[in-house]
Amino acid sequence: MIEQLYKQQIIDLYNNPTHKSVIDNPTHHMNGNNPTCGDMIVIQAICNDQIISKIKYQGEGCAISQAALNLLIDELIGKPISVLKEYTPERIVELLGVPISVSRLNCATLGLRTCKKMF
Amino acid sequence: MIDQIRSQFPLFSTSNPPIFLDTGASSLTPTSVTKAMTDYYNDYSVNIHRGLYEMSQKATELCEVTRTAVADFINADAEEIIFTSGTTLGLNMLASMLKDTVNAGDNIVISIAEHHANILPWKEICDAVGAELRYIGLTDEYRIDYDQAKDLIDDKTKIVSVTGMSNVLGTIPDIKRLTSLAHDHNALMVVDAAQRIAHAQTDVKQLDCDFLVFGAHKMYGPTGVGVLYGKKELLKKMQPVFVGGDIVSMVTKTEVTYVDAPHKFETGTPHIAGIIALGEAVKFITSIGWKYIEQHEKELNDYAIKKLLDIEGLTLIGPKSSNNRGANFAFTIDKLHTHDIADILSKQHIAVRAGSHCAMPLSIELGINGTTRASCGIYTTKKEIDALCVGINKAKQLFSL
Repeated sequence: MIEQLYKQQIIDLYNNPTHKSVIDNPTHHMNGNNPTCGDMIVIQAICNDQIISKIKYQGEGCAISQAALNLLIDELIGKPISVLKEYTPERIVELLGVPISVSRLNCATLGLRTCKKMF
Repeated sequence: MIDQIRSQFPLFSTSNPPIFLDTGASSLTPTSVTKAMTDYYNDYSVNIHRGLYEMSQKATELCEVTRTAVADFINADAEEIIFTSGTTLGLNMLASMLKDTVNAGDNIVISIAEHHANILPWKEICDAVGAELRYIGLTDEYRIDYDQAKDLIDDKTKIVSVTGMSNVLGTIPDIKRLTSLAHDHNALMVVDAAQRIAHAQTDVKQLDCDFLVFGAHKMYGPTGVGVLYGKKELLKKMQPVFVGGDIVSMVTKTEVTYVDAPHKFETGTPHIAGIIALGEAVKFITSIGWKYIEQHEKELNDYAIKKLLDIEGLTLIGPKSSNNRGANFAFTIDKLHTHDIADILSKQHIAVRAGSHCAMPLSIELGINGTTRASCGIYTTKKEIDALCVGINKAKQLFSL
């Protein structure tokens, strides 16, 4: 039951996030926050000719929000900005591969909301 | 005693009751309180005041009986008890009632441990008139820094408003001491008693505060009803902020005279069922008695503090002693986010709360990104604290901590 919510991939991404670092000369950046818990993140990106080549982030968050953002970044690298339109909260839940309660949906979509604001 | 208390809460008689540790947000409701509500709706659900028939007179009378019961409960007079819809409305109403007493250059003093409901109404006034909002800091033990309070409260202070019990730290400040400081400078003393009211006996004459605000739903009563206490000599001079029916002595096209306090502050139809049920909640608490409650709080504090501190990586955000402390335990765990902890506990049927608990300035001051909070009530057992600790350890295991 608990393992279902926090499958190993999520815990691994939380403990060792793949995209948590700083970009020196980003073309885009955006702050995001989750008012229900006070989490704050800063996302940076390099994007030329509408193609996303790099996305990194800094900040704190729960395992669900951190895993979701890392998985989303995996998907976005190398794609045009327009692809973001295809990403809905439902798609993020699919990427996480675990059931997400209504109260955690804000956590799961923190990265998505911030990326959409950024581009 | 604890079994007899728990038997009055239907939730505990269900087949798989949760470990409920979120009383700080809302307490559970005993059957006597819900019965008072349903009795009203089933038997005499009519409006109060000028209905010259038996049902209306009964409803009116029971609301006034509650007013007297609440007054006795906090050692006030019935005419000093204003019914509101809860603590937040009470504090906002009070801030509006006091607005004209604060001018540019004045200040209002609160503490850094306040709930947003006891920050923002005062902040709005200060911003509007050009007054300063001052925050009393905490000692290393998470207690109010009274030395700093002494420095901050000065002749320009018009209002001091401090929590009666912090909803994060569990601390119960020495209100009498703060009242003295406020009164030395002719400032008014306001107490946000939302958390305190069911955890520590509250005697407004002993505290000598000028106003005290609380809601029913953290004291085993219903949501949507609360109390604003004010000293009668002060209420007498104050004007209502909401106006309309039920508070008028005489009104013409150009003039109005209001009735006396407390009724002049209670325009419109109140939450009648809620008020009557609040009376039952008061009865419930007094039937158990403060001697038992304070002993229970102390035992839970001593037990939970020790058990929680035994967990490696856990930091208790609050004093490590049960003195002047309600059974409310906010904590952080190294490398674990509060939302993950609360979610994993929830999967184990343990109800806690995570986040800043509407006290964001406190989180920022302490440099933490929120806490997980386990808050206890009159029905909480040591076994439930054990279950919490098992649950926390399980969360740590899951994250390989």
